[in-house]
Amino acid sequence: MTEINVNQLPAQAPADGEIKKKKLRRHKKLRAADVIGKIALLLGAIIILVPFWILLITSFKSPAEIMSADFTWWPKEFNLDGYINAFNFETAAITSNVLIGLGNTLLYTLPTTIIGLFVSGMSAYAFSKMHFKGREVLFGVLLLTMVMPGTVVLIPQYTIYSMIGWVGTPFPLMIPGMFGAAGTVFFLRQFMRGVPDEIVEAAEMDGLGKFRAYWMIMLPVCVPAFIAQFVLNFIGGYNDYLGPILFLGEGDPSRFTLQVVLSNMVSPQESETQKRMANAVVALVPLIILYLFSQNFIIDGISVSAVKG
Amino acid sequence: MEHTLCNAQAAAVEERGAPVPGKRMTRSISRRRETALGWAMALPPVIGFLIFTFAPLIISFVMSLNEFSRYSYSLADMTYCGFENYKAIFADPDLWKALGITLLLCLSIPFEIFFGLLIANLLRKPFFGRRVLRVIFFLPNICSIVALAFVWTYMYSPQEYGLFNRILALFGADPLRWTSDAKMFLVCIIVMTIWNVMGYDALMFQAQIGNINQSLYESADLDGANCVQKFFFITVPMATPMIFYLALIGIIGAMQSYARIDAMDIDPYGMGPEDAGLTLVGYMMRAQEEPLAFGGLGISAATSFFLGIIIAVMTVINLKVSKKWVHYND
Repeated sequence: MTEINVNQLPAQAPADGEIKKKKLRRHKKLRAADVIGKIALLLGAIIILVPFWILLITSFKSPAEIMSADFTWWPKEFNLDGYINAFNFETAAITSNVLIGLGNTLLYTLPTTIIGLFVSGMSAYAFSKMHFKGREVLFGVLLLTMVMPGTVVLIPQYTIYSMIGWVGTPFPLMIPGMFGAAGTVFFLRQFMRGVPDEIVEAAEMDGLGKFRAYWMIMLPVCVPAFIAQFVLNFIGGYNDYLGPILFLGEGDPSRFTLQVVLSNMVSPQESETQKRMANAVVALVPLIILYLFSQNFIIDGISVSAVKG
Repeated sequence: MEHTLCNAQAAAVEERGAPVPGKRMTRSISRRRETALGWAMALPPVIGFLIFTFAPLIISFVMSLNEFSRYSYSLADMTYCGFENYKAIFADPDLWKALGITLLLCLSIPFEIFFGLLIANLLRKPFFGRRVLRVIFFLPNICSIVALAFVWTYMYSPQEYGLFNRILALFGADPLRWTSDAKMFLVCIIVMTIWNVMGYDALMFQAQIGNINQSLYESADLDGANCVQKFFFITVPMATPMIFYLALIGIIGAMQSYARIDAMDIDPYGMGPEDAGLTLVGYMMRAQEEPLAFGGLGISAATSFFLGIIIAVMTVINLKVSKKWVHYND
């Protein structure tokens, strides 16, 4: 808002010729800088988008066209072999299939994300709106999680899971997430602290218990924050790579997640490029649609955590 | 610190008010109930952390002090061997090579931060299409690294139809081998990482820059500062907390690099051409995956513990340094 005022200032300034001229010149200079800035931004956006465009057009090019010397920004003729291959279930027994992978990913990720979110929200509510002995100590322990990188504990996790028979099953990808995530707790706690205590207290005065106050009052108020966290956690689960490779990669292909299916396609054979691209498109489209629909929540969600976290 | 604690306690006592006789019993019961409920509600993530992160961390340390019979993933099959695993990895030139490669991957961070800050600064003022640009810049961040690696591998193709080789051809240069060349492999990974991550940094900076007091820019305008001066003398200093934060999470992320290398590496054996992409996590993973060739679980656990210590040290250094250098807005 203030910026608009600044831009309007020269027009409202007293009509002193000397100053006006100077300001005008500065104004012009600013405009030039603005234009350069816009061009730079546009260039940046193009650089970001070019790989996506290449991914899309290459998925429609026949292997012969892909490997011919001239590269075109539009397929000469649309070849759907890549997609036919992606949707072909006959080869699924060996390397699985993107659609099976997609289904598995949803099957493993959605319940975990939803339950984990609910649990994290409850924890965040307790940390932000309830007063109890040991709250700060408990929160301190949770803080430790943020410092501990997940990769460091992968090996012992693998050992434990293999001893209790979880390797080759989706449990290692599902159960831990259902306990909630520290990052989510921090984010939601931050959001809930912004909700006035009076609202919760009024609910309790009306005879709601703490838990129902969370469920009926706090949850609805925090819907945007919950959506942001849901989408971010879901995307995280969808794109999870190391865990699924380690815990599922050696097992039954019908249990592979999307990322495991894709990673099995990495090969030096350039004749396979079209298939790879088509599979990648199938893998990315749901995610990009979700992103476009929820970008408000994601971008605001991340920004909020940036400022307050 | 102690002062604030005392104040907080004093405030808490005040809030509770002086105990009123008669009401005391019911109050303490409801307080005890609130404590019990509070613990019950707050506890699950803490329990999850203790079971799935903290316990494995302890086990990891125990494992690193033991030798495993090859091909066994059971904790029952280990024998205590003291610090032999650590001695073995520290004597292995591959570990130091992996550490060097991992540190080299951190080179992408200054570029990510610079471009991120630049984008955020250019997006500072509202204009038509700003929202669309924000969405575009953040797009690579939500995409899976394997899918992105497919395109990048294709663009880096050593054949003459690869996009980068075609760009070189425009300038009359000979085609390069890009990811197939051990000397260029890391550069390729770093360039892709910058492309992938700068949008995230830009988004974080936008939030930070939005918080900068606009009057600073206004007074700079009055003093006749140009946009370059404003960028370096207002935006950059005011963004230092975010710069440090992004550097920290960037380093923590880079230290754990594996997925993007695994996905970009078309060589089915090894980690990139001539092991040019062997990171610490790669070193850890191959010891676990191929125990006969690379030493098994004990080595793997020792490596992961070593990695954990490096990350912890870096976190502490960053916190200390940032306390000294960071310019706080408020």
